[in-house]
Amino acid sequence: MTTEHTANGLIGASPKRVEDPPLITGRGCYVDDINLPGMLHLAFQRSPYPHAKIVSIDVSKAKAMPGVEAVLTGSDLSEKLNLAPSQLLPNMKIPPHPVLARGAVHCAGVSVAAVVARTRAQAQDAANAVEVEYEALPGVSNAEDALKPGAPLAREEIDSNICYTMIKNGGNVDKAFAAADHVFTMHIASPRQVALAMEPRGIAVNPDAFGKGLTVWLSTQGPHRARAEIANTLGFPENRIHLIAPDVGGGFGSKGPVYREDIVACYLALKLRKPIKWVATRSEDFITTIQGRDQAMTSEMALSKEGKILGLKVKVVANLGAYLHSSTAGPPQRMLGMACGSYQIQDCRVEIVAVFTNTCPTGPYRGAGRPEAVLNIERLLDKAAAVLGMDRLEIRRKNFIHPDQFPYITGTGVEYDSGDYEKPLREALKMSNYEDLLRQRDERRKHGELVGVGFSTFVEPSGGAGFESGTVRVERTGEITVLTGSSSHGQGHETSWAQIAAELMKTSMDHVTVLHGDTHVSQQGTGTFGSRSAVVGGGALAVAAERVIEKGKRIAAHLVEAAPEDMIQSDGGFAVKGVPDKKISWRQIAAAAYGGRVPKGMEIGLQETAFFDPKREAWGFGTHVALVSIDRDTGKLTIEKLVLVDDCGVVINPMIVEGQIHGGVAQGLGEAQREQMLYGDDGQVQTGTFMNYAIMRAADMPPMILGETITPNPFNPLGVKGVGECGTNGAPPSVANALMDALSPLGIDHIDMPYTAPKLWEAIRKAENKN
Amino acid sequence: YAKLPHPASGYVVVSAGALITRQASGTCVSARVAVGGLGSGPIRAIPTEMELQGKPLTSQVIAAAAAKAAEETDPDADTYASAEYKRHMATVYARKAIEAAVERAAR
Repeated sequence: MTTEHTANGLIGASPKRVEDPPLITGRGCYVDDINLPGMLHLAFQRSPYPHAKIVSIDVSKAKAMPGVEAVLTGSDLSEKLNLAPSQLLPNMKIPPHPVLARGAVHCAGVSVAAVVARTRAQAQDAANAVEVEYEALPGVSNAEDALKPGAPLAREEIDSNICYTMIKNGGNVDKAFAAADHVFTMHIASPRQVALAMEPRGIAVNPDAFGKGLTVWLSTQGPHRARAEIANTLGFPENRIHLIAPDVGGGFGSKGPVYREDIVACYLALKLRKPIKWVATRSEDFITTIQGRDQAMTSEMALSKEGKILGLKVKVVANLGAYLHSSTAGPPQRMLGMACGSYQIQDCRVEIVAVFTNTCPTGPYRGAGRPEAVLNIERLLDKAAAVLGMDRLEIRRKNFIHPDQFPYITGTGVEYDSGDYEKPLREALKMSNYEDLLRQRDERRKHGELVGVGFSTFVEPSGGAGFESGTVRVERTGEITVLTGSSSHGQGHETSWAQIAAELMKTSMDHVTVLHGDTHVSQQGTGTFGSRSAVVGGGALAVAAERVIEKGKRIAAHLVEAAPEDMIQSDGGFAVKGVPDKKISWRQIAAAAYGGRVPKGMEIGLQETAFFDPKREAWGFGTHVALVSIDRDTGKLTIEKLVLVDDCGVVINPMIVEGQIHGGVAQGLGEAQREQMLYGDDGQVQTGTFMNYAIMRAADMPPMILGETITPNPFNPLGVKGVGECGTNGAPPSVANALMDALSPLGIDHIDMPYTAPKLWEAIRKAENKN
Repeated sequence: YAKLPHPASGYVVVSAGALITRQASGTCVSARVAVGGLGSGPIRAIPTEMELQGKPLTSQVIAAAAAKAAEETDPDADTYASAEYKRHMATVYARKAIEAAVERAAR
């Protein structure tokens, strides 16, 4: 990736990540590394049934076991101790989400009893010894099945399986369909995914001596949000909770909400007045941490014979799982908002039916509704092209939103702030040698090979979810400290924010320290998810830095007895315009600021805080192109070429951006080729371990060719947009479209991901038998 | 020995082993072929062996013999593969194993 867009300075450079040395030498500090004197360990017994009444629980054996200090079940806790959704929608059904099961369990893995003991092993042995009598109830795992008449009730407390519905009408869709030359229907399903951060969830809690305060170490993506959720759930004063995110080994959205175990740990720590720790085993994490996707879209598209998209109808059936976490209701709404993709579609109807089933709760997972939306619209575009006998590029170009139409309000009422979709498309076609790929494909087809070329042209929202905060402090010694509300859990903010601060303040990264992830250290923040940190966290940092620079300039002017307007920034501080050796360093400015040598009327000190809310999302965009082939004999899909061109605005650290794209593509290709969380019809877990849930390993990855275009964000001081999720948004649809292109000679209309070898082999065999 | 690994666990979905003795002329003297993953343990693919015995080991002969490797087997379907896929892939891997054995025998 190039850095030609940056005149000089550190934004656009790729210094090695400052957070890496401790992490890669085993000197990181994760939740499991927190050890306090007298610390107790928490373990749980979990329901093996996906849906059951709890008939009785006998804790007497468990209580008597060695090392045990407490055993807790749902009936010991107040009925008010529930997790709750953060967003209340009209007509939303909110059955209880108790932190320990009360009376019934609604998915496998639900915590039924909690044990605190001196060692983890003692706690787990005792937890296993709790005797629970269940009465199994009928269950349902598939969301579309859950809507059929006669389907079992996943949540017997309410009278249907529907959590909420939502409908958005744009323009006049019925009129548009009536005028259409062609109308076609597609059903597209996005397979359920498991987030699988490398570090499973965990929490350590230390109550103060009198139970008036709590220190919490939590593997979280948002310390302030987590603190608020814990405070609200427990009814404990938020300002007396000190919440720290130590090193966090990945999250991908799954470590945004607070979980049952977190509340139980805090509750027990306060009750026993002792420090407590719980870290999930991989098996626990697999089946209880929020999972992603699992939306099924039925769409109808209306076309004119010239290739204009006249109207779009989409019904989304979204599987929320058995319980609502704070953010469970979110991703289907994102799908709704983005349903029209990169295209001018004003007449539309998009409907969500969000459904309870007896499966693990779902929620935001890298993409969080974007991948479903892009998959849906991009498959529809390819099908539309086929229906019209039109080129797939031509139909997209005919329907793209044009650069002069921004800000553009889509048929679903969402505002895209900026865009130039032709730019990355042209670049991707060039980089992939598109015409040549088609020629190769056609040639190989003559020899009977199943080869396909496909692409996706997608938009990608980032920088949402409210404000972020930043403080820039010039220390007494002249060093710079940044306090950010962003909460890095693998994104490299300590490096990127240092680059931003160093460039803005004209110093080197060695003079900048970035602190994050601690509610005592930084001002109120929001956290890191939804590809928001560069836009909002970086934006807040830029605003705070500008204020410090302004004050620093005035102090510098005061020190050299010049006018502030005669001062310009120079290396390491300021200089007088035209008199380069009349300069003042940040060290000198800081000494003056804290020593009282400031202009008359100015407050001493040198620290500024900004709360930045762009009040709109930043819409990145891109084009991904794939060349794939399928072995007829085995069904194996090979991705032979993958070209990814993304426009995330100004690039802060190209190496980190590449890393984000690589990681997103690894998860996206996992979804496309092999990852699907499977449940039996009643909710029984079928793929609950790495033995049968297959993720991509480094050796499974195809070579990736990355390109970029840069359209600066017009609404952000740095011109940046997010990029963290584009791999999961754009790569799977490009592979899906390439695969369907490869299978088109066999007349196969659509296959759902993941494209495993057995699935493809069956589809090919079925098609060949038909022909 | 040739194995189709499960993409998650790496364990066998189906596998095949072949032990071939051939004359210098290329005729098969004896063939022992077994397939795994189709039952509770490895199974001798007798129909395949009988198709190879005494025949010239050409690729057509091998293909025809390998095609019988899953005859009279009844594997279970699982979350990854159907029974038909396993039976089909057993023939694919039987062919791979036999061809490799023949190639080594010819050296």
